[in-house]
Amino acid sequence: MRVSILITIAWLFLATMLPATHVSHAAEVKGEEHAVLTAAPSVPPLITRKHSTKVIVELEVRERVGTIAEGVEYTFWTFGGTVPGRFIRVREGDQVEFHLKNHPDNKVPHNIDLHAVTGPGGGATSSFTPPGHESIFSFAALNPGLYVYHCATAPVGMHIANGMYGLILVDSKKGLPKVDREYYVMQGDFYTVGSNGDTGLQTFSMEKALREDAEYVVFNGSVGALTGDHALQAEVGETVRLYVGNGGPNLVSSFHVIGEIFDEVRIEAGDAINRNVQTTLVPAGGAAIVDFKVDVPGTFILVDHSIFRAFNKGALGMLKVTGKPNTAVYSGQQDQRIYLPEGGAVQTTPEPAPKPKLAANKAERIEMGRGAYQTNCVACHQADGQGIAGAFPPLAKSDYLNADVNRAIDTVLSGLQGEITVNGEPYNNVMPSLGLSDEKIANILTYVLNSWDNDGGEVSPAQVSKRRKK
Amino acid sequence: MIREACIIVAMFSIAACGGSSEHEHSAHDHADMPAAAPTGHSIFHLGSKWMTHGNDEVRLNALAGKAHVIAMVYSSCEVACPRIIADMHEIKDKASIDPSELGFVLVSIDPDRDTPDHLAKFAERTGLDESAWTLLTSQDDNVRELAAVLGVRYRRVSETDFAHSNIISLINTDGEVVHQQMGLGSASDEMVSAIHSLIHGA
Amino acid sequence: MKLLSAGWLILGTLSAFGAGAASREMSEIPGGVYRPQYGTKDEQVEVESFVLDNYAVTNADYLEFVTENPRWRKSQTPQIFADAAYLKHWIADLDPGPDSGPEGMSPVTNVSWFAARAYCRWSGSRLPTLAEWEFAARASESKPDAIGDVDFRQRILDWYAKPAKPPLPKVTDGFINVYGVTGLHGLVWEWVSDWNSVLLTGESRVDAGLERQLFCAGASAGSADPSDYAAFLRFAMRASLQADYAVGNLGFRCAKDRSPN
Ligand code: HEC
Ligand SMILES: [Cu+2]
Repeated sequence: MRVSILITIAWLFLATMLPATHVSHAAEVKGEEHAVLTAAPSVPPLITRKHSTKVIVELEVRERVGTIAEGVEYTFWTFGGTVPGRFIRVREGDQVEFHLKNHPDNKVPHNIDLHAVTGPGGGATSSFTPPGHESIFSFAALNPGLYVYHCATAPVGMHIANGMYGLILVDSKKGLPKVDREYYVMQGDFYTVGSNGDTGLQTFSMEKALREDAEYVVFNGSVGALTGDHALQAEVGETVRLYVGNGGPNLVSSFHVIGEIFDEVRIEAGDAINRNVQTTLVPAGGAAIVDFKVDVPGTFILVDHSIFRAFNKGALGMLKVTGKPNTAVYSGQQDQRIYLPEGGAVQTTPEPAPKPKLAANKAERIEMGRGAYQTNCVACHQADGQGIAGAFPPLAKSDYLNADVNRAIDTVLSGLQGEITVNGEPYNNVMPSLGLSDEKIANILTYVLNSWDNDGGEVSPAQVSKRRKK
Repeated sequence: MIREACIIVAMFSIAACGGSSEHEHSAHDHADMPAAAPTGHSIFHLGSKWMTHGNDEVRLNALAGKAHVIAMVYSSCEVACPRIIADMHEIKDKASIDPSELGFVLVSIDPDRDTPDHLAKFAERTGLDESAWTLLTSQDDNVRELAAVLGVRYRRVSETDFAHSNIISLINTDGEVVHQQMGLGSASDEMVSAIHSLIHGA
Repeated sequence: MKLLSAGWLILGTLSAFGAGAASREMSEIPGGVYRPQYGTKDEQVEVESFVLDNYAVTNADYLEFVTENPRWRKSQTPQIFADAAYLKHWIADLDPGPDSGPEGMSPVTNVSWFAARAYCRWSGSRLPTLAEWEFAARASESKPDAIGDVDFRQRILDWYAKPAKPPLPKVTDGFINVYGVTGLHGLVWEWVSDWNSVLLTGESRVDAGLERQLFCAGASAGSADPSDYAAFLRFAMRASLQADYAVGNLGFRCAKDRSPN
């Protein structure tokens, strides 16, 4: 019964959205093939056939923990196991049979809205699928172009913020001009409860997402996904095409390649071609196709030219061009830093992630402690350290805390259980050991001691380390 | 409580609860009743009791032996339900199948107000022909269960109104859902051809 | 009691009524009013006092149920009541296997709505309504309505955001809310009796408005609290289900009306 209903829905979907054209399309469609899906930055091979066909796309949604920056983990919701989702390539006029599978271990339902679909919800209504199930629907690829797809399940913002987007390319019947290299680059913004660089498994912060205050802005799903060994490659004299998408959820990208001029940009991935472009806007939920010829060797930096995102939040990639220098085109010293007025630290060391930074003074310690407190303590001791009566003792104006700082360090180091009295109230509960670094414990406790009417003071990592060895 | 018992017992043997519904057999005496337990996907597994607008008490297996087009509505609905019923009329006219082979069923999602009497008046007022149409009402819990099986979602949104999905289902003689038409005013060709292939063979 | 049919009595004896229910602890949830996540601006839902299981139904509990009710063993259940994933983590009809947790104490999942409902009936109770469940789930360990607390929300969200692999934690893990109920958040999704009263198309951007094509007027006029992302997730989950679906992270607990005395 379920299968027949699904097919019915698919049919309905087709029938309602393509009243006239569907029939004529169906007549031309010859044969059947399974789509080759690729993870970024790879793009599926060029389609060489000259006729329309039925293309079967099988895409599996996985919710999985991955790395967003060195030492920082995040639970990504993915189309195909990666962020961005698998690149799908079909040809104008193809009939696409889409299978969306939601892995049984997943927690939440998902669907897919493909901007390449002409029809209600772009497929979302027909593909709403709980874990352990699969939806099938069909659509005709009517309009050529490069399109974003994404999940549209409530809360949409959260699904997209967790990485549920990718690109589908509908090659036009005559195809784009041939190039030597094609790459898939997609930007996304991420909202973690911890601050940028806070290590460990980070969860999604709806507060920050609502404020559009991203901790990470990255290409291809993580800081460093396109740098160092993962840099894009090309050789002098080659033509390069970037399929650039932006999943958002919030930020519009000012896409720029430092030291290159885009020979051609298909603006918003539509038919209009703009030439000699320095920076092109890629809207959230939109795309662009940029072509350029690489004339000189060197490392070219891909950025979102909203520049703090690039150098502080991760929106930075590399294109490494090898080959003979061409002094006629570029005659300076062969040093890419000349293009980098921001100062070379990040660019010259292909360091994938910022190392967790250390506090230089008490003020910084307090500031960093504030963030770490939010991540590690707030669930129990609450935002203003007030605790929860009967369950979690207050850290605000806590006599227990202020009486003995070493005891407080021990508490955070190893946890605490058994009866204690805080501000005259008895507590008999368990505080787990949280496995934090010396630096982090020092920061948190310094922050706590200097907040909410506590007695002040500073805890140093050395002091924590000493207690740890005891 | 009786109803609950029936549902559970029905899992063991449909006869345990089905025995009391003699008149159903006479109502459809031409039909070959399923001799054994219902098929895996049959809605006849539901043992709930219903009242028709003719004030007869029936179980869903009263629908056995004949195909049915079925939808869930409520009689005081002003927007969607008249259109569902209009869609069903369209299906009925286009399919043009004798009422002895294809029945039309409206199930109320508002049992509080849709008493058998109320439904009878509704049928008369809207000109639903007795030989083809059956209107059913029951208790909330039974309605919820049937809705679950038919994939219908509904919710009371005010004293008088419900939000509900608009789904018309085709059920074969064994009580299996074989086709569904979703949304109001959808093209009925699919449904009509499903009916034809069901009744005349493919 | 006079009304009980013969069938019920037979079952009653079969089930010894409450082998499952005996070990069960329930808490009273005093009634009240709250504003539902999907509804009109001033819609209020009134919840009468009721009694709710302290814990989700475990694999061990469920084993008792299927032992006494062969029709609900995974090889026996008619397809209309449960899809192919029904109890798929069990090794055999009467063997819950390692994925059911130590002593089968993980919440039973991969159960359809029909199955959950049948279990509750067998144990002399019923599934909670959506309103009852949502009402009880607003409580934190310290207050009956903590939905406005950013931290409480974030904790709920943190669970939703992490994938879970079997075996799931024990039903007793997790915080005890003010009513004495554990695991409404942070364990598994739970079936409710009228889960199919959620009228979302799965196309949440349409659902935010009024979709007359699919639903009668007044279906989904906005949502009460657009920043309560956790509630969106729960409602989306419910909307994606069908009554025969068995899902790996979806279990249930039972409820009762408060006894009149
Ligand atoms: C899982 C809940 C939980 C978390 C997370 C937690 N605590 Fe605690 N904390 C407790 C409990 C419970 C106690 C009391 C233990 C007892 O009664 O034996 C406690 C006691 C304390 C105390 C001593 C009592 C007081 O009020 O002064 C300090 C200091 C403290 N915690 C600091 C922290 C800091 C700093 C963090 C974050 C790094 C943290 N806790 C994270 C639950 C928690
Ligand atoms: Cu999703």
